[in-house]
Amino acid sequence: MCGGHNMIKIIACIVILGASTMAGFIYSERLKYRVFQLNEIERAIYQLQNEITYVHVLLPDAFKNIADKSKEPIKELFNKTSELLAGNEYENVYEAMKASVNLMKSKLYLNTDDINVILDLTKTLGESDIKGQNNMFSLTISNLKKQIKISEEFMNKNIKMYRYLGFSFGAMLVIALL
Amino acid sequence: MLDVSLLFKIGATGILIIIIDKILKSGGKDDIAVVANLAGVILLLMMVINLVNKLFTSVKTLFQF
Repeated sequence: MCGGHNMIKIIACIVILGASTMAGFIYSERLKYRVFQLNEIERAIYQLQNEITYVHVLLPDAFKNIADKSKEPIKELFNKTSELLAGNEYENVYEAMKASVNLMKSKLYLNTDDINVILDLTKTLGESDIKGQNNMFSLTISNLKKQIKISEEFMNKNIKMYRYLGFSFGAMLVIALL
Repeated sequence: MLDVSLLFKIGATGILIIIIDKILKSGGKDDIAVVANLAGVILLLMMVINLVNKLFTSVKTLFQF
């Protein structure tokens, strides 16, 4: 075997190893993003509660206001909801929120449980008096807190594992191809 | 002739399977660890299947006078 051939082989192995390690790191980042986005949504919902209980803003404007104070991609999620609500295309808040969640699906790293918590809130939003809505808000906040706790535990447990696994599978592939 | 590099390959694969098993078990994914072990065993079998095949054919030719 000539030297150049060997060199290419070594470089290819390093590339495979690097790529799989990076895949592991990128996958573990998703867990961090989920915690971040859940925290952001929790903060946004507190603000929405303030907007509704104390400022008595209309819902599209309330969504717009909390979108202005949130970071991406939660900002875009609430902006879309506000636009859809203002456009009067949907029957109720739930439908509009669902549509905007579907639009933003690729940027949200939340699972179905997390999304259901938010959608449950929007089912009753704007359909009862302030006291009733406050009850729903406190329920949603406690559910969100639960989800945040679960996702943080999941992150701490799995973030290292995904990194090591990425490297290990790359090494496995290299050995199998060698 | 016996190919020594194959032995090294088998050894390295074994070590890696043990590492993957340990990582998965420490992450609380015991069921996936079992699947990974099984996949490793199959991988190793596929590596040596040529040698086993050669062994069988040579045994066959040994008894066919």
